Amino acid sequence: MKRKFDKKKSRKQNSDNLLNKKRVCQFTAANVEEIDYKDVDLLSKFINESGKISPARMTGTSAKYQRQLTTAIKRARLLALLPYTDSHN
Amino acid sequence: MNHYELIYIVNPQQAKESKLFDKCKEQISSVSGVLHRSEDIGLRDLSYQIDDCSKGHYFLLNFECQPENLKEIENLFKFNESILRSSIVKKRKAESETSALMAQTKDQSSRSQETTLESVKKEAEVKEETKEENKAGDDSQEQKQNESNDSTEDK
Repeated sequence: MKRKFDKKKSRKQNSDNLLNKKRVCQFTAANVEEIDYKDVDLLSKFINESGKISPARMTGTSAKYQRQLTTAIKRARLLALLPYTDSHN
Repeated sequence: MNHYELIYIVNPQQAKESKLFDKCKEQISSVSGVLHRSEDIGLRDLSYQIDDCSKGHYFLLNFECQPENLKEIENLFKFNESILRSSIVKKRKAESETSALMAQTKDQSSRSQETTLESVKKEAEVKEETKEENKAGDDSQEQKQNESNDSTEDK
């Protein structure tokens, strides 16, 4: 019994983490028609320090918009608006 | 007729000489296309170097034309060495408002100008402050000396 109690407690503590926090999709809320690949300020929020695309479970983006987001980020990378990695000279 | 968005980056050293922007517009009108938006975005820092260039001159064109005529427009870029990157993307609808990229580059340039102005001002202020501090320091030292003199006299 004691063990079960501990487990519950630890889960509660974990809920403060970024992963388990309930987030609302930013694009669904704003009812975006299509994510613009030229909007660098917006896209740069969805890549981490090393230039990787952050997963939807971190940002709360819905599947529909996550698909658009990945293509948008990849297009922006081709046009040198966003970095591929952090090790560019 | 389909909607397309064309964006290309020119080597900044050759950007002024090339008249590609006008050429593109002419090409689009010659194939009876409709131009919805044309932006000379200007110099931007590239996220990574392309052909040893760390800056690029961006151009953006939104137009409508028949898909058969797209190759003629593409050919303008293929054999041009001053072009660093180019891409044509199909769009669902016409766009005529100023693009986010344009607004953000403008912001950047204005910000950089402001920061240079501010830094100059700050430097001037710092200099004045240091002068005042020096004066204050001198005064306090004199006071201390006076005090010490007084104390010795008392003794």
